[in-house]
Amino acid sequence: MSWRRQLAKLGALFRRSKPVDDLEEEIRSHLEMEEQENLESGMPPEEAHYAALRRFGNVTLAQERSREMWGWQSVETLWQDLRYGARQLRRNPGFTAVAVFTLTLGIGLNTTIFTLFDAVTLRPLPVKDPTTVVNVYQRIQGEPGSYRSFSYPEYVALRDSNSVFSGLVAYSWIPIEIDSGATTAEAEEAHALLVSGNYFTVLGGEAVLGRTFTPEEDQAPGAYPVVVLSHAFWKQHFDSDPATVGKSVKLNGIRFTVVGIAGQDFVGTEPQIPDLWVPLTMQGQLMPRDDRLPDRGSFWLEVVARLRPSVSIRQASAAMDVLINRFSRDYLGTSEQASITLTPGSFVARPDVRGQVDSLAFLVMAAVGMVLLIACANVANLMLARATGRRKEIAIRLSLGATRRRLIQQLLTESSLVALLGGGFGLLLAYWMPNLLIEALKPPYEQPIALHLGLDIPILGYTLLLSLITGAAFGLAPALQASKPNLLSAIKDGGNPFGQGLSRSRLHNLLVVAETSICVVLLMGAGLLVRALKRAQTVNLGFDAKHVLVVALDLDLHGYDDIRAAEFHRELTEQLQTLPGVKSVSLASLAPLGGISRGAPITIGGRETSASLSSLSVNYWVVSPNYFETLGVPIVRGRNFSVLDTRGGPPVAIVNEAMARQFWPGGDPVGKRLRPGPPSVPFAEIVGVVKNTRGARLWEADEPYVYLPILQTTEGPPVQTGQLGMKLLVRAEANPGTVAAMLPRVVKRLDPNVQASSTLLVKSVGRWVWFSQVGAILSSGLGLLALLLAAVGIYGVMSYSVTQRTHEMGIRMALGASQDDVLKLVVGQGVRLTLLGAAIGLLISLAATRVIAGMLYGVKPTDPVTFVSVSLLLTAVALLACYIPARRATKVDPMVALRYE
Amino acid sequence: MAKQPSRDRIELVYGSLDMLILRTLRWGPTHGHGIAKSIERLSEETLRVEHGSLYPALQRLQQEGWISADWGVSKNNQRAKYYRLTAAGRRQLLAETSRWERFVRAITGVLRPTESEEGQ
Repeated sequence: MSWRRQLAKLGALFRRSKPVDDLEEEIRSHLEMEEQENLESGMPPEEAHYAALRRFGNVTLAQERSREMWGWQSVETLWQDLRYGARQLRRNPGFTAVAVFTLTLGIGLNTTIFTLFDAVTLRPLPVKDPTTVVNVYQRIQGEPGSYRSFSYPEYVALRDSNSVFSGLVAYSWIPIEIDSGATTAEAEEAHALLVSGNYFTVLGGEAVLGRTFTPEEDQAPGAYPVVVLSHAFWKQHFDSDPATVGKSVKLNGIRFTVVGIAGQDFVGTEPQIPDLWVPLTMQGQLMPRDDRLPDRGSFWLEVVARLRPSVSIRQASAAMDVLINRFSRDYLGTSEQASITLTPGSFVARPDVRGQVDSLAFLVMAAVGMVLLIACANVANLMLARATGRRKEIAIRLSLGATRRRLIQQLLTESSLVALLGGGFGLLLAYWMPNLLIEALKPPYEQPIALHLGLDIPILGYTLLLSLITGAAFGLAPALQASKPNLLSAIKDGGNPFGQGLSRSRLHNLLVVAETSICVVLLMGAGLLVRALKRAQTVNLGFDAKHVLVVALDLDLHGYDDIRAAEFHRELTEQLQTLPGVKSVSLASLAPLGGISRGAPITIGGRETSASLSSLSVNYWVVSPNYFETLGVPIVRGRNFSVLDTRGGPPVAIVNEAMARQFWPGGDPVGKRLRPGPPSVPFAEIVGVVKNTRGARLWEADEPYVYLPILQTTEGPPVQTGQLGMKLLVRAEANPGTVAAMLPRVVKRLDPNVQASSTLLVKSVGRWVWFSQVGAILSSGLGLLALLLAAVGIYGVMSYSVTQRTHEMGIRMALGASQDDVLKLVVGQGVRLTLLGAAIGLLISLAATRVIAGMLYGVKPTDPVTFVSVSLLLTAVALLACYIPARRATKVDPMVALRYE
Repeated sequence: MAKQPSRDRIELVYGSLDMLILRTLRWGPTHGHGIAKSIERLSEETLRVEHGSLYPALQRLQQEGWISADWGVSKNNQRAKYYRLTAAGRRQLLAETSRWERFVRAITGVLRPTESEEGQ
């Protein structure tokens, strides 16, 4: 079409009177002229009239075509189709309800996941004027893929010398114990955010009471012991008392003054709202043994900045590149080239983390997308079945001159209407599902997560688009099918005597096979993740976590050094052992399953020390003699540490079986020597071998460990065995809760300032299992939903097919087929389809499950148990879904079936 | 008596209707019925136009700006819409006609090569 025609059409849209408004009159005058001519040529009047009409052809069609020329017909048709479609849907409430419900599940699920994804990654930070806020990262050249945060000196240099940002803020999480000052109250653990003095002003956070921080509070380290409390924390711990401002609280034993309460809706730069904010410059006071402010090599600060007006991200990052490289050259004397990456501010902005989140989101989206596909297949089946019932209506419309295109358009409008209804309800579902999901799946023992999950434009757009695509997906094939029936036979009898159109039943079958195979893929994923969870829950820890408390003390905050700490530990251990219900108390450098391991190089004595051996590194664990007893780790060879293994005695070590197998395969390590660390450390003699245990992480394979006696080791790198950081492990007889309750009193008796925090070791296990749990719960939910939908789909197709074949069944039975034969016939058909679908699904799974291999601890992606059980489950469900319609087929009375027609 | 469709009548080739309408209008403005009649008359009843199919084509030609329309009164004192050729329409007709002639010459040349030479 030429541009001139488009222009004319556009003009017609806005003109009041359209060029075809008088079309009816024009055609009438045409017909009159023709009639006149016919009369003049001698025809009788009636004959002349009809001859004119015949000569003209289809009047309505000519009008419609002429109007279509002007384009605005389409709006009119759309409205007409919508009304017609709505009427059709109202007339079939059963069909409408099932279709809309199915789509609500499918679309709602997809929108839910998208909402979560949107909240975490797409939404701008919940701060004032978020479009000008950027996250700042640096990247060291020659270290591809790694982004890093900033050291405090770097931050200060960037903050004070840049000209592209109106503000540059820095922050970092810090665990804190808060003592609110009430005499009876125990100090409590809280999550604090160390922030630069401009944090609130740059991000636009206001205090509801008192004030926020001032830029001066950023200047001198240690000079401003002030704290801002979060609204929730204030409400929970200070009963929203206005007099809280000005009060003094103890943070990690240091007095701080509460200067303000943050606004209720202030979130800041992290999805978890902190309990309180403390100036960055107080870091050294709060963590006395780890003063990071002057440290140029410790990159611990996240940085967020606000762009000056009319400065683009590209300009800003170019300016920052120059600054950061000048800083490294002048102050660090390094030659490494850094570059600054600025990303639009969001919770997950760091490019490498963002990549991981995106790929995880993609995985989940793919899974819920599959559920939607199954839903589509089901609704398409319904539409097909219904189209058969509407054959007569469609045939009549075709014979009255409706074009096929027009009919398809109308049927598609109808399916889009169903999809939009499903989308609307899906939106409702997606409104409360995300909160429910977060509540159900959040990691145990963590702060609440403050994500904004309300509807916004991206979510609405996503749902609308998804609904329309869905409508086309399930509507197109049935519409194409329905609009090409054999006119004559359809008008003659609406019913379907023998064997329906082959291609139509083939489409039915295809849809069943497709949804079964998708269902299998989802079930396989779910099955594998559930197996992985089972594995995680029953993983052999190598120790007995039940009834064990892990106790951490904050001795480093109260002026203890290693010698005094050792004394304190000894006294505490003695006192705890006298408590009723305590079975055993020991000390260890690291808590089991704490997520942290300490490695150091090792040299094996008594054999050639090759280069490869000397570069070996193994994990060290410094423990007291009854450590193995407390955790119930059996000693398989040699002896335990004893109280005699002190600094004066010969150095000794115990290794685990993995270590023994790796370094002395087939031999006995007892009596051999190893050097735990650099050459300055003396060789130690191996005195025993213990069973393998899970160490720092639940998922680790059997890694080599070296245990060293606590009374013998010296402080310092590489083994870092200072007494100060030691954890106490307490095994209770039965009830660790009561022991945990008595613990603070015992500690207070020794030193009233020292705080003890204890957690159950099984909770640490739980934290590790949580990750598996999320995957397993999510995927089995999806898998079961898919199974349900697929079962409904199979059931629907089979019962439809039975209805269509009533006549045939009647004849078969009249000719002597038994009920069993009919049953076998129908069930056989359904099961054949299901098995075909299952086979295809299993093949796809072989490739697809590799994607989640990283989440399958100890389970292979090709786990035969899962393959077999999924196949069995699906076959069983399919049998059931076929059996019910098949039963109905056997109940056909041959006489009734034959008379039917 | 109704006219029986004759064997000699040919259905219109797609797209040629536009050209025929433009050609008809060269003799002056006329209404839809007049266009239909003159196409039939000029082709000596060989070309069969379903009168209804004329109207979408007339809309299309208006949009292209090749014809314009105005209400008027016919010989028999009937109100009718008269179509007239515009300057652009005249140019279009010229282009279409020469294109068509080349087409016909080519087809004829393929079908009856010798005869066409004799005819020269």
